[in-house]
Amino acid sequence: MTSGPYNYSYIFKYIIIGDMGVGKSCLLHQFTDKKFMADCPHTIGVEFGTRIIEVAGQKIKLQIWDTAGQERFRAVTRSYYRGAAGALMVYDITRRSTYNHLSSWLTDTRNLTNPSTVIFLIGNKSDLDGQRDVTYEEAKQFADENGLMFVEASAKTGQNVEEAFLETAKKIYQSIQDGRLDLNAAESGVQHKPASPGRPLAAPPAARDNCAC
Amino acid sequence: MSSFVNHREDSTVTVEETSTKDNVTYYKITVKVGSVRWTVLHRYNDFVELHEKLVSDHGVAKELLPPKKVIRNKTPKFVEQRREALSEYLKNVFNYLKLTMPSEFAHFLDFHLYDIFFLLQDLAKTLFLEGDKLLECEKSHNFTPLELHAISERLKIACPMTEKQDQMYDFSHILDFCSQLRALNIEGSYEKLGTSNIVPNDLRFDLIPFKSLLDLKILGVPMACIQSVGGLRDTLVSLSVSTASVVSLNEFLLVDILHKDPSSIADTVKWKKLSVINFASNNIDNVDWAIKLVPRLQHLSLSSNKLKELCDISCLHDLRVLNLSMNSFSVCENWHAKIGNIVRIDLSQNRVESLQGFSRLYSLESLDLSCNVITDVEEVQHICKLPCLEYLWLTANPVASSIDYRVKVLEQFNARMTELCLDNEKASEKELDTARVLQALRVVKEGKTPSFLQNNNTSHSFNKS
Repeated sequence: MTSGPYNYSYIFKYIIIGDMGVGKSCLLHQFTDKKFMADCPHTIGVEFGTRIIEVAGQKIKLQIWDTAGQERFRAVTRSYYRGAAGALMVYDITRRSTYNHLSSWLTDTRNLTNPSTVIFLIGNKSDLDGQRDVTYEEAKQFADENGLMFVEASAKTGQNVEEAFLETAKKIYQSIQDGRLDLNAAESGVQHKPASPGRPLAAPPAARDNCAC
Repeated sequence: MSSFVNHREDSTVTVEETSTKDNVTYYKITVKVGSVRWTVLHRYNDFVELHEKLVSDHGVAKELLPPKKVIRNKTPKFVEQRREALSEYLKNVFNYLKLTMPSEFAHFLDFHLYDIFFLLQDLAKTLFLEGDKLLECEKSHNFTPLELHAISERLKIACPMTEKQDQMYDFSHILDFCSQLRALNIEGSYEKLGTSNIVPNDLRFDLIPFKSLLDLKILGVPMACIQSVGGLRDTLVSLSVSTASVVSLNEFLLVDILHKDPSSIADTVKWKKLSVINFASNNIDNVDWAIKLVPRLQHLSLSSNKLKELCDISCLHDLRVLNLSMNSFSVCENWHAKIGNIVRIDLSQNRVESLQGFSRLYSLESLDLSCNVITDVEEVQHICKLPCLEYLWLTANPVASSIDYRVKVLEQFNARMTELCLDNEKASEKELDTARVLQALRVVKEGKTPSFLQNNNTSHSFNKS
């Protein structure tokens, strides 16, 4: 197994959150299928998508939970925050109200995820610059103040969509390397790929070779 | 199927009966969760084993379990006493562990067989460990209606607190697997599941998690169970729905559309890639307009249904193979106006009398009419001009038992008689010789060459009179 969809070393769990209609499902679709869904229906509860990416030579499978933005699904969607390694928090640059709600989304995220969860702020619909309601500078300042990563992206043109997902993964991977994220912790949102039976992924301890027994 | 996290307060565990097998006493535990119930058999030793784990890992009081007794532990009086004590024990432990519901306890009570969350935890683990291997090696994967129902319901409800902390049991792994699966089999059942009162075919499910499904086989599941086909309209290539008591194709093709009215159907409900449909062994009596929703259809099988007539399906430009065996066709009129560029037709085991309706299916290469009621060998006149016809089955028709049946049929194909494979067999040299003689006789008799240019009304009326 050197290539193909089953060759990866880690699984990262992501969630995408934000107000209704900011383009969460479209971002997911653009990322997983490289296509823009023009008439995307409202998400009922949650949606799900996966893609395998490469960070620092390591193949990583992203399991992405796309949550419904509608208030009535909040109880259901809240339960998916748990154990997320990355949270993509999305607003719509053409609608200030979606930006104004970010602080409540952020509170939820901080309360329901663990401290090592990487939060990435995405200002979606950057292709609609003419109808802009929130400036880049303002959002950038909000991100900096709260220690979030930030880009403006467009699910329609695909601009910066890859970057947002990949940068989040890089940051998570970095946390693993630094030892800030404990893979064995129950809710880290990161897992090793299961070892295939008869062919364990983790190499047998090298010490054994030196041992005379 | 039970949903314990939603019915915690509406659940009970009791020991109501005992039974003896091979000199071992079993206690029959009845679990009720809402309206769902099932029973589990355990001997006393199983209780002891469970109790040890619960005491060490979950803080259950050690003295709670009724004590062991080595001698005279088989007397009816003692067994009855122990039954009561065990019932009381389970009631107490259940009340105590209701909120956390540790896995050992859930398994002891068979929650992993009948309850949405515990079943999915086990499934998640399996798919986490084996999923990639299954996707790589398996030709198709079977999901039970029970599993599909659990997945659909699970998506609607918030994560319960009882969920195991280990990420191996995370629901993501199931959706991950489903979203990559290419071939899915679902087999239904009207039989109650295990010891429970759950009937699999009463459970509703949707197919939304299956995002890259190409091949779907449904066996014995009523269409009413399927609430949504999700994205299947964009991905599915091959569909099989058999023994599902389906009366019309739109039962599946429009399964999630409330108003099955041709005028209000939008292009979005078309099955964009579907090219093979098999609805064998159902109750279909008419190929309805819904077939137009499958514009790329190449292969349609409606074997073992109740069809009498074929409606106009000429809109299916790609249709090549049509299997209508084991139906009730008797008259087949002007099929060239109903089906276009067809290559293979299987009409075996019907009641077809005449071949007239096939006379202009010029692209036809294979026609199976075995086990029908064709009596007159001259019927072959209708199809002997079909330029591509190479395979013809007339076996087990009355005509096939007439004298010199094979040569009489072959002879009518004139120069093409050497190419024809009749009833799985090409003409032997001897048959060809006889056929040529017959042909010569016909020429003499009719004073014309060759017979296929001739109107054969005369021979017809002669035979009928």
